[in-house]
Amino acid sequence: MSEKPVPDLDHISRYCKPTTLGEDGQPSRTSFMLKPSEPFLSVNWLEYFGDIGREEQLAEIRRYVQLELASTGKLAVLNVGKTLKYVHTNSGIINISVLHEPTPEDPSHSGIHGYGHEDDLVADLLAEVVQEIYPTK
Amino acid sequence: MPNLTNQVDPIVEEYEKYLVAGAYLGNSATCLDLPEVMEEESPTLDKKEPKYEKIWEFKLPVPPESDVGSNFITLVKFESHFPEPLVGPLESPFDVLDETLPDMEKIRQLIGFMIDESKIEFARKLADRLHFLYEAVQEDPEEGPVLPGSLINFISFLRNTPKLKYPDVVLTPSNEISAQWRTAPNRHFAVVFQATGEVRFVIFTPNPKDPAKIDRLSGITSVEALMAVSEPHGVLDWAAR
Repeated sequence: MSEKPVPDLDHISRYCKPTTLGEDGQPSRTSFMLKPSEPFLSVNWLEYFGDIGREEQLAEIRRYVQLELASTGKLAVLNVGKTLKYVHTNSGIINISVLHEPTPEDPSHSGIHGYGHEDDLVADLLAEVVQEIYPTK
Repeated sequence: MPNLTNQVDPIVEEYEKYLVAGAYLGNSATCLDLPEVMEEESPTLDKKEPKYEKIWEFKLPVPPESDVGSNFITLVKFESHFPEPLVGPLESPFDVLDETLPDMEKIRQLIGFMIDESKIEFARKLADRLHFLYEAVQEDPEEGPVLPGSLINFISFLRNTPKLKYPDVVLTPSNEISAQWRTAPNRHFAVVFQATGEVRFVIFTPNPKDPAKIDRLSGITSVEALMAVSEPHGVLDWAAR
């Protein structure tokens, strides 16, 4: 397992379950909260699939992701560098990082490390730096 | 807070009589002989002891001192409770809620109770939202139900804080209720209602000395103390109707 940092200029996507979407359909703070047993927040590295368009990147994500994607869920896209800077600046957490955590089934799988399941402030900050939102299907 | 009802100034008492009669009394500007009374010194007639209505007397186990996640500006851990016994005629939903019921059925009954009995102003709209979440977790075979204890605390909080606006409600990954009142990046009040009776809250609010800056606070307290802890940070400026 490489666990190398995902470059700051690159992007990650997070699958947001329907129960975490606000009534306006937008990802909310809970879209970025961890379960107590989760050591990091699971995301996917979009540029892992090369220099292709966003829709093609997302198609690859949908193809490999090991989750049952609900049709009413959303994929939220965040820029790595902006996310890390924003969380660091506004939470004081210095060890926040995005690492590549590939699995045999999901090669672009990555994780946001450095916060726990009760660090709601970080989840709120992550929800504020969502750049793009896409359907799951 | 001292009870002022037996210490009302005679002038104020006289004023009340005229006020009830709808009479025009004048003020220090129109009647120069009247002493000018500073507002904060006035025996405020509307400052009565708060009335506490009975909330559901469901005793949730509160764990001993638990570790609290890292927080930036402020970390609060309160162990406070209502200063008065909770009295009133409202029936507890737990008087009728069968503890042996499956959690899904408990949620269904709690939503029904909220519509029929809770007296929450936006109960119907909130029930629709909760019903949506209730159904959404049922559609996912890997999901557990909405946690009944979390919903109990949420509804209890709303019943005891009737001035709040309708919140945006979502579920955490553990299927706890998360409610959010947000009108701007610097007017953000978000709360997770844990099944234990505690709440985790986050507040983004203008810095009192430099409103261009944003203060970001988070902490854990009891559901009963949440507003006492949050109100000094101005959350009612945007969360209240």
